[in-house]
Amino acid sequence: MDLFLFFTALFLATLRLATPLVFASLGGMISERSGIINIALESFMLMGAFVGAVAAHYSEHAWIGWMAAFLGGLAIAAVYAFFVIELRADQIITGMAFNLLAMGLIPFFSKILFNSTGSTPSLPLESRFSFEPLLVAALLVLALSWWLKNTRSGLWLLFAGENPQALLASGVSVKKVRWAAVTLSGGFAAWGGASLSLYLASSYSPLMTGGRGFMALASLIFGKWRPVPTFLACLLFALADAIQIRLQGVQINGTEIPVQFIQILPYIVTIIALAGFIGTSRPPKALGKEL
Amino acid sequence: MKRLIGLFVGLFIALLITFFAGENPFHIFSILIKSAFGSMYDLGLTLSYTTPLIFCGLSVAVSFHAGLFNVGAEGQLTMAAITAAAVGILFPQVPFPFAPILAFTAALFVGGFWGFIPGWLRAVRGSHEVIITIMLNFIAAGTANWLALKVIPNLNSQNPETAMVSNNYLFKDYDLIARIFPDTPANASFGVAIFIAVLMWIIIWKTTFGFELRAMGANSEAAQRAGISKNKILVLSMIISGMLAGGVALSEVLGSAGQYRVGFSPDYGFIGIAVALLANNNPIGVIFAAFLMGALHKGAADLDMETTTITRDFSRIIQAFIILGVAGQAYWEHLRTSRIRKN
Amino acid sequence: MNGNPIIEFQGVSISFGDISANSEVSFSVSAGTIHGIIGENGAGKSTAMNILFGLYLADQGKVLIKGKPVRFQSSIDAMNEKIGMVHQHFMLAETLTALDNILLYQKGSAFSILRRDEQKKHLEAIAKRFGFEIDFDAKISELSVGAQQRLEILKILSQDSEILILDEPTAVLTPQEVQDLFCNLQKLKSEGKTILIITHKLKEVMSLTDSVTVFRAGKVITTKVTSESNLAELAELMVGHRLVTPQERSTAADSSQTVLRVSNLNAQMNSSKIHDINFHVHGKEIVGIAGVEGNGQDILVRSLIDKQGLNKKNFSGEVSVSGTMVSFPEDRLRFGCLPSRPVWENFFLGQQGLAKFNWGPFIRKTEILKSTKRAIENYDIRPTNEFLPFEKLSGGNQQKLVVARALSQNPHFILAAQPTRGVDIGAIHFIHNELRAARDHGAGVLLISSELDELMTLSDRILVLYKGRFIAEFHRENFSEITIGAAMGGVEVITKNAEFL
Repeated sequence: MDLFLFFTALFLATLRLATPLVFASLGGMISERSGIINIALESFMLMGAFVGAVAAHYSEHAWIGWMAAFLGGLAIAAVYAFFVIELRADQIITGMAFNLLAMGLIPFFSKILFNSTGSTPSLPLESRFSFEPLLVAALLVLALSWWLKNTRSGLWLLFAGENPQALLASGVSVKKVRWAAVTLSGGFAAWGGASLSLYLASSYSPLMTGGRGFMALASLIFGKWRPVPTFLACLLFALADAIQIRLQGVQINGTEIPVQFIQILPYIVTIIALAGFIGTSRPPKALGKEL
Repeated sequence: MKRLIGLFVGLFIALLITFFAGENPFHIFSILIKSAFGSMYDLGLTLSYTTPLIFCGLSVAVSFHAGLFNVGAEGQLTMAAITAAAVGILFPQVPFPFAPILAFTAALFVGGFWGFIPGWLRAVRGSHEVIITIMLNFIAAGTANWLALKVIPNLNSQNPETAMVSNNYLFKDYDLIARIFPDTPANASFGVAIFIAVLMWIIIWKTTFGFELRAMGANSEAAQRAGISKNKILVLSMIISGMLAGGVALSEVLGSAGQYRVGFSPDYGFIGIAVALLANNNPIGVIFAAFLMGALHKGAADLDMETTTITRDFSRIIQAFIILGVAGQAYWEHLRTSRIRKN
Repeated sequence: MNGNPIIEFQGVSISFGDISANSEVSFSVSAGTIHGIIGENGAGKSTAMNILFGLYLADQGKVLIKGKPVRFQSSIDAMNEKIGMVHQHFMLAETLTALDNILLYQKGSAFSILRRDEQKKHLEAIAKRFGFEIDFDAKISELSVGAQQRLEILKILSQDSEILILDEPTAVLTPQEVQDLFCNLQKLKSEGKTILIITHKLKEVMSLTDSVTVFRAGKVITTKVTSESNLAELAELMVGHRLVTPQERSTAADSSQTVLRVSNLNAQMNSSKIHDINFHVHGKEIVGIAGVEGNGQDILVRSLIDKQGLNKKNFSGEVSVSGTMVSFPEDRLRFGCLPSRPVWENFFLGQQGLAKFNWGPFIRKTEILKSTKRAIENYDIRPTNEFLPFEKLSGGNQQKLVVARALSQNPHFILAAQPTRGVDIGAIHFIHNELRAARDHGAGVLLISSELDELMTLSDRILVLYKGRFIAEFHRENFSEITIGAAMGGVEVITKNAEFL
């Protein structure tokens, strides 16, 4: 019975912890399926976490924070899209610059708003979520995988990443499709960040994403750029995270496992997953290539 | 030249942002300049930032030449620094000239190993080095924290740091640069960094290995056809990259602090990306770019105290915009070279 | 034959920078005919067709469709006027199904739902009417090249196009597939469609077209009724001067020396495979490998020069080369050069291990520059600037540099894969002569080419690769386009003097 409780708790924790990863990796999926590498996911998440927490703090309403996070994500991703689509800047270098930018801009705004570069004010229970983001994430997985299979714009997205010349020849603007995909990916990744600050925690704290943007990319690769397998990959990484939290303070033969070692578990799992399975994973053909 | 335009555009946008925070951008700019070069003390601090940035800039530049993107310099320098401290604490009896050499060699070895992992995974499994190195940064931070706090902690202090290394490991008494800039962490490793930069310039541009490395970066398929082993270049370039980042152990642990302090690096590894880009991956250019970024970083640290709204994180904004300014230049290049097909 | 002109070009000119691609191009095409557009590489035939299809905008002149002047801003405008084009490189997404590749071209709003079953029935009806059978549920990567081409044509037919432009449609087809294609095109003509076919293969022009327009150096030389012309005349119009017939070889293969021996080679990479490959190349001998592209040439090349990327378990057999080996890569920009780097570094690439260019771990730049200059001079590479980035050279000069680099090493064995692809006719002659000269000096050459003419002029023996196997061998005295062509299409020919190994 104890074991049953343990596993149920672990399972629920996994689902909770998977939420931010699922949003971010779905965002990454539509961006990369359109042919644009998205190393900037981490910065979109940070932005979403911060904007969400700030908006929820002032409005005292979680859903307003949620929508604000989405808009914030759209905005920063639009700037990213401008650089990589219009200015043809290197996608990986630009992505890393955005991660730096988010790490710099957020304390900057935080200082102006709260006169502190640390965490945002803690949110009361009523302006936080109890389960909703998890539900939204699950619905988003289903909706995206249906959309990708059954709609014309889903087909456009696939062509933008597989053979943009063909899409162009059919009379659809590849640039527009990529702009839409990248900005939307910002919105989704920002929801991932907001589910950290409004759902898993009760405020924004500096660098709270802790590399989840990169884990989302790893799940995307692991899930072969497809919605449902990507979702399952997110669950795997979230499980590692949940075990990590469970193991903290646990004693084995009277000695405690150093917390630092437990904390690096998800990162090790990510490396193993990426190194062990990438051979079978094929990215979209035009990924990262210029038009 | 184009790089300088990118730099100015980036700096301009970053300063513009301060305007929206209610600051006077000219005032901010003058603080940046004054705090970087205002006095010997300021200059010493700027140089002390410059040294690790030369190492990290070289690290990123070498990986770029081979067609890789090493964003793991941060993890590599962390592992190297904790290694240098650990050697200095665990083997106190080693006599002087050998002690720092031993610690530095160990640091380079571990830094190189931390670069080897992503290089090897890329070579044999095709895993993308950016994601792997980011993960390794977290793993390095966790491992170093554990060592610093649990294995070799400083028992006399509340700060998260290791004990002091044995005196045999420090070269303060022979350090000319440290004497010029007293009371600052600037030290002889600045000279070592410049020496290594020149060495890297020779390796990259004047040796057969350097040619093979650049050929791999320019066109990996053609390089392989020409008989250059892709795996060898991927692995070696990442090892060299890791060792270069590991050079930070010399300036930060053996040259100045004498211990490993948790969080000692203000993300030198990431600033190294801006340094390498600004220098167009030229090792000699890295020296100047590192000095510039070091000055900006020093300036940004002082903004924290001199203004009400600007914090030390402003340094990141400047770095990001400079990278974007340089990366965005690709567009002008493209406009220049592409034929305009439609009127 | 003098029906209503459906297409008219009137004094159309276009230039890219300083280069005039089309000047004063005028010709017309009658409705319901098959019209050939012929010319050498770079003669301006594709440019003119791209203007017709809306990909380029003419600087001057007029294009009329059914007597009405048009000015297409994009291919969409052209498609709205019922013009369709099949490009040389198919515009298909390999990982998606045939059906999805056609559905892409149907109009509809972004969020409209794709009714795949309904559309499939509709398309199958069209396919049946014109005799194009395709498995609509198969992924593109599972379809043969011929089927992919049928799909491209079907894509145009499904939009009710009346004018079809085909750019070098037979380049990638087997002789049998070419027959089928021509048969289908005749059927389309009888349905009233107008077909323009860009090609440089004159025999196809003679057998298929009703009339033909000849391009040379950006200008239209003439338009002729095919039945009133002949092969020799068209060839002369196209080239502008009579071609020199290739000289017969004077020396015989040196059978005492074997420079390449391949035994029981089996290899696999991605979808490409070769089985049971056994052959050898002697000194003073050119051995040609014929075959339609995609029958294992790429993996064969890989097995011979770089086994990296080939898993040990995917590779078995023995390859032995005696003496120095060099290669011309089949795709020079991809495999043969560092595009952004200067000419001298590109000359050095592949020779970086040679003692004369090294001093310990250092490169001897002055030596390399000296050799580069010599090669530039000897091979007449222009512009004569060893510091220019490789990508700034023209295709012919790039290939000359690749050849110069390889031959300056006095090789015993030369692997020449597609040595003249995409280069002008002057460079082709030059490269052929260099290969003959190298052979006469004792080198053995393995020539892999998709141009049967090239193989037949140069080779002493031709091996035919089909689906990863050698299915036939021909000696020079037995060369015939018909039998080799049949073998390329999979017809096994047992020749009397077949002597594998």
